[in-house]
Amino acid sequence: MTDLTAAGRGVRRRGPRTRWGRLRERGYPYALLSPPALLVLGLIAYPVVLVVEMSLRDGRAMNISAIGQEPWSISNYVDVLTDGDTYHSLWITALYTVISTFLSLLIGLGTALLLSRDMPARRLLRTLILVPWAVPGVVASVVFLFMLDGSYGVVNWILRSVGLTEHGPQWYFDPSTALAAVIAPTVWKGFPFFTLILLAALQAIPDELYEAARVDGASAAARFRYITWPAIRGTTVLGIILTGLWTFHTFDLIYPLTGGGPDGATETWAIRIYTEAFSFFHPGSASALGILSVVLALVVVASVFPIMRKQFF
Amino acid sequence: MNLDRRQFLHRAGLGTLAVAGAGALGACGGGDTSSDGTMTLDFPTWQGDEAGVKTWWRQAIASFQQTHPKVTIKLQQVPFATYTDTLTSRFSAGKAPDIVHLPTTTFGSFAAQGWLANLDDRLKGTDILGNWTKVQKTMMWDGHNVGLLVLGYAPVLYYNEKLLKDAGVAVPTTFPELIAAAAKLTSGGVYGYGATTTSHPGTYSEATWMVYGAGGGWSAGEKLRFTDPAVVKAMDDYRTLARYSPKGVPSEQKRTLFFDGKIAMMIEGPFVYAGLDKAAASVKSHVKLAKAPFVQQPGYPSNSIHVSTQASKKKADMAWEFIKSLTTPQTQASYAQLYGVPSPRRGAVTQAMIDKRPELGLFQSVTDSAVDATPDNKDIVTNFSEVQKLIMDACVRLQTSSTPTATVMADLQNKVNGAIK
Repeated sequence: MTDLTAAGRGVRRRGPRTRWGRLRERGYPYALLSPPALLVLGLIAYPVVLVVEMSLRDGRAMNISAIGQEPWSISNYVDVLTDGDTYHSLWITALYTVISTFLSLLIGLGTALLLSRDMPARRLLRTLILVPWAVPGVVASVVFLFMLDGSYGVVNWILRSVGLTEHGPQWYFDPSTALAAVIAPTVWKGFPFFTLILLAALQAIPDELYEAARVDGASAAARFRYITWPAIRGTTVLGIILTGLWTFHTFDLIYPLTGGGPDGATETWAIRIYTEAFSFFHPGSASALGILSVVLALVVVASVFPIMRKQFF
Repeated sequence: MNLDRRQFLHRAGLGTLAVAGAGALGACGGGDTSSDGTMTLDFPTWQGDEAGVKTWWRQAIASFQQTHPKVTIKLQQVPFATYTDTLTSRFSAGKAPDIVHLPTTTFGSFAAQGWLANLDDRLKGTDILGNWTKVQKTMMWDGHNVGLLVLGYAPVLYYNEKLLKDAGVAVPTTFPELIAAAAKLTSGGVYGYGATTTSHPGTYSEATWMVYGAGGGWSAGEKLRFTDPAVVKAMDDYRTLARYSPKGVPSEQKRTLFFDGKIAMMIEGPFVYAGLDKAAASVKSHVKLAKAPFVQQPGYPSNSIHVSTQASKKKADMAWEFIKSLTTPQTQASYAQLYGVPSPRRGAVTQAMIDKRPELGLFQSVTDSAVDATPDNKDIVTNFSEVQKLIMDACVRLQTSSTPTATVMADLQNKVNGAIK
């Protein structure tokens, strides 16, 4: 019989015997981790701290080095929270985020269901459908700007050709249509993400389930409701949360199209923060809006996520 | 090569020290001049690719470098759309350019931040102020000259003579005539008038020309004048005129449409004339100019040049030397010749130049007789971007809604009051 006690003692003897040695051994992984940790702190924590500080300084100094000379104050928060424009841009942000995310999901789900079927050139189509996702936001904006041009755009040309309208809407000029015209490229760029993740989820569903359902006489709608949806709803919820957060702070698609106009019709919170900081030279108000947007996003996710997790995961 | 842990840590430590040391040495190595006494001045501008004026800038730089062989001026083209943002970021980070070129609309915001150096002492020893356009007074901040106006102008009426003749319309000389002409000319895919009809700085300029051209103004000292009957009437005329314009077009597209023969008339600055080179062959010979049909000509500052307060003494001195070199009668004459716009230096545009380019005579005469069309309210100038945006939004409301003009202007006055409080 082997003497396990002796062997165990042998193993223990290889460890550090002194307190300093044990401390050094425990600290070693942390020492190795410290350079990237410091880098991450520098790149993430420092700007966050700076933004918090700027939001709590009263003044319009744009020099980062001079911000510390401004007095501490909560006036920036008071100003933005008592400004009607803040709530207007919050409402625009909510509309933009919810509608864009919902439409992206619908189109993404539709294309995912289509591409999960056996069809000619399926691989090519799966690749092509991801192209909008890879196109930079600014490029997508330029394309839609041309397409939706009120006088010479192809969309209005089609509308005029089929007799739906005499002149066609002035998409980016009229406050009543501008938001829809900004949502269009957002959806175009956003739906491939849903297609990608939902397609992956659909491929994980065993074919046997559908075959059994067919044998039992289940309709297409019933198969979707009782087999497909339960299998993809977790992925769908994740997609909604991620896309919702991305859309909430979208800037590159909106700014080149409208700059937040006309007359504030597309001024989301992201655009407002940028305008406050770089056009109006109100770094404090912009920072306060930035902090509030983070808090708002956290509150929404924190309040919605447990319900969704209970319901769907 | 096999390394044990001790060797690896030892070498990694030495490597880190070497990299840190190199970085520190690099950081210490910066300065105004290099060891051989050469100096580079950073000069970002949006005019580096603009027809006419780009040649002038390049010639002025080459000439300066010839007389200052140890100085290199690095002209850097930045698109106009992102120009102010780029400069704002650079100033905020303490990395301001050595030579600061600004669209005048942003002047107040930059001056209020203390980013523009006082040039009074430097100007004292020169003949510049005595010979410069009166619009130079817009460069005053807290009683000091903090910049030099590069271009101040008054807009003129551009019209397509053939389109007017075909419609039996005379060249308008009053505002009611202009509106009536625009209405008559709008048909068959041709727009009678070209206004900027989107949220674009051009919207602000055009509304300002209308208001000041009609004898009004955005302010009278401390008092805001957005609800003055004269201003409301001018904005109502602006609104009527915009009905005969293509919708949703920024300034650049409007100019293209004019030079393509799809717009019959537009009021624009002199620099637009350079676009005639690219006009459709069938349109080129029909493009004519006339005095804009205003009660008084609105004078408008376009862009200015400054020395940054962040520049070192040596670089600030050299930046000023460069600015000074731009003000000589020869350089100013060349500005008018190459760019085809009035020069800010009086007398730089000679009769010989006008004989060669008749449009220069019109540009110079309207500029000389113009009234200053910049708000005289310091709070507006300081918060100019915000006020400009509010006026642009009001213009869009006038163009897209049926809300009475007086209501839109009353709302605008309230918003401007809030913005500048």
